[in-house]
Amino acid sequence: MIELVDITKKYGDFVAVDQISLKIKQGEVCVLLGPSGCGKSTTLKMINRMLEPTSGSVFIDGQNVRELKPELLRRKIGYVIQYVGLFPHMTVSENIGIVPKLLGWEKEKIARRTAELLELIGLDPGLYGSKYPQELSGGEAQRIGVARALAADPPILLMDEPFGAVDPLTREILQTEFVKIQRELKKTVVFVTHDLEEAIRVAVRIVLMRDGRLVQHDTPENILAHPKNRFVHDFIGADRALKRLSRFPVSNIMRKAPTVSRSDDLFEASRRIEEKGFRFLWVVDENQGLMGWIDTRLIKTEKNPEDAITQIEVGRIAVSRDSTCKTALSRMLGEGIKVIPVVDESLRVIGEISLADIEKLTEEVSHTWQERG
Amino acid sequence: MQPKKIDRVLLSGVFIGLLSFSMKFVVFKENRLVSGEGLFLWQVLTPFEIFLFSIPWISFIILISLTERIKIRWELSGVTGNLAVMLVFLFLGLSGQRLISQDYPFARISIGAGAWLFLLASYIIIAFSVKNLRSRRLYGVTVAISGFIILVIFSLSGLLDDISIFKEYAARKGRFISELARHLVLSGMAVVFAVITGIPLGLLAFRKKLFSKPLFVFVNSVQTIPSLALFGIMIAPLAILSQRYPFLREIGIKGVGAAPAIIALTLYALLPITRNTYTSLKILDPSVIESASGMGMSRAQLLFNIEIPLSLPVVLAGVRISLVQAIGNTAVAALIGAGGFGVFIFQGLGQAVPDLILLGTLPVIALAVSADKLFELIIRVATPRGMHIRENAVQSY
Repeated sequence: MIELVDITKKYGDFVAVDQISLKIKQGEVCVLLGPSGCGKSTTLKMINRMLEPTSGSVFIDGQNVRELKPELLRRKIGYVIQYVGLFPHMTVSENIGIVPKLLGWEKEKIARRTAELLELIGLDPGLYGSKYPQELSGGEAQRIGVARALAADPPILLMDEPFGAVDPLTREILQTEFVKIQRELKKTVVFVTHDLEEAIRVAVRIVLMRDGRLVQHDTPENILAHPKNRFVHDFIGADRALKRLSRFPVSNIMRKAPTVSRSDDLFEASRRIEEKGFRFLWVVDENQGLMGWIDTRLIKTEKNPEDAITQIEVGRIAVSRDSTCKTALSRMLGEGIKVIPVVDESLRVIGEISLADIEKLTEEVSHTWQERG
Repeated sequence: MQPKKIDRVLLSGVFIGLLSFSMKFVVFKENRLVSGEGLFLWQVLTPFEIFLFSIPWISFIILISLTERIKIRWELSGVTGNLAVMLVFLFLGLSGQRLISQDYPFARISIGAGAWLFLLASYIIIAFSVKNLRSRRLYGVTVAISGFIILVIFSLSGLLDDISIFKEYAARKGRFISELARHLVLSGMAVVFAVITGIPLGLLAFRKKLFSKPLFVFVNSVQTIPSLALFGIMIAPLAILSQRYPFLREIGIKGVGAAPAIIALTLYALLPITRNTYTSLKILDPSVIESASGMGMSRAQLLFNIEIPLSLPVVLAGVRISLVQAIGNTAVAALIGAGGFGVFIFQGLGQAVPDLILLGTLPVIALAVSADKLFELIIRVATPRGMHIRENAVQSY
């Protein structure tokens, strides 16, 4: 656990960080968010003593960081910066192995660890291990920057705009990869960014800062739903309800879906579902794979019940359980339907999600900020 | 159809070479002081020898006209260039033996304008070939230095004994060796001192911005002082000092001699080393430094693992410039009694013997070129591999 107690950093008369107190739980991704010059990077750098606070203290697992030599402290904390700073005269492997080397690991252990990390970030160790930084693309360099920070398996990771220097598309890929890796490794991460979308994508909790002060510290869902004041309200933007939807996987609000097999008696099934007050019925094939739907009103007028089935392109309409509600909403709007199915990997229906359910979620978003005190 | 591309450098080399046929090849002198009588090629060589002599030049013309079609054309032109050099020396030696008889014991021949131009033209072609042979370095080096090896073999065999530069050399063999040593010591020590002071100064300038401005004003303005003046300036204060403190004189510090020369040469050598040290640190990527210390490198580890390997090539480039410059400047140091090859130059000037001037000048050039090449090699070795890649990438654009 990282604890900042009343830390302040002054440069002459300028107060860069003003009495910030903050607890970051183990295994949590805490994003320091705010416009440039708000003191978020300064705050981050006081954790591994790249900067010393003018007053206040930083504790890691209860120990004041001042009691440790900066070098020794830093070897236990991964550090990733915007322009990566790979060492141009060392190969990718040597770059990744630098902290283990400083810690005096054996050569074979370093080699094994390096290969393992390259696998983790999705780069072929045989191909990339002996490359030099000059030969890498921006995205690859950023990935290797993360791998290098993870090399000695530090419990804490400090990331200062780690994906800030790559194009938007690569950035999104890196963010997604990071979330996946973090789900596995469960590091305590302090992540600095000025990009709200990025914060929403990676954060467990967000610390929103302005002019060196902490403005709001909460989960992204709550910050988006209940901005504390006008600054937060304006910073997160008018589409906060929509942004918030990307924080909820559809599995949260998914409900059971009525299905019928094509080989069943469709008339009988339709009648039963109509009695329960439903209108639509998902139709599956012999292998339980989704193939379309039946409108219970239409089936009465058709001679052949098969004709009442509307075949669908499953990939275009259905979502997976991990998809966000935002994705589900855009599917509905794009296809012009109010209910879409949720399927598993083998395209079997596991539930459905309706526009009404999503609307209910957005109702939690308050209309204005809550001005307190 | 694409117009055929002709290598212009090669062409100009051949043009100069052909022009040289119309100039006087050797100069016959009855003794070392007279200006002598210039002789054309055909006045000293038989028609067959002239034909032999023209073979390389005819080959060049053929090579140029076939240009794109021959794959090994740079190997061919390099070898032929050296053949041309060899023939120049061979026939210089032969014509010397022919012209000089027992009647004139002090007679000698000087290398004529034509012969000089032949050498120049050959080396234009050789240098251009070596440049194009860059991918095959060993071969390129062989082509570059074989002319020099030929010269050494010929002179050892006595073939060139009648040429006046060699006569001048033969007359002062011992002196030549001692001045060579002196020249090397003077310039070498100056560069060593400049390295010892220049690198810390560059570092200091980088760390303390306030200091960098006056420092560079100083080292820059030293460069603007003519070398002769700088040597002169040293004389008075050093003379006074050694007068006042006799122990200084005992360790060799006087108004004239090695001490003022080394001081002046060190001052000259300071700028490239200081500036390159400063620049090498300035161009270090700050994110590299930040990530290195952020990962837990101590100050010393940062210095030895990151800062030195990354800045060394640039610092060495500064040392290279300083050394080449110092070798040249040392020639002037002879004026204040410091010795070195300048001794021959000033003697030659005093006695109006051009060949003695050459005896002082040519070794200085040879030394400077070898020092330059040596450092090129050292820098290549000292440059980390990852940085070579960038270099190549830049070149390929």
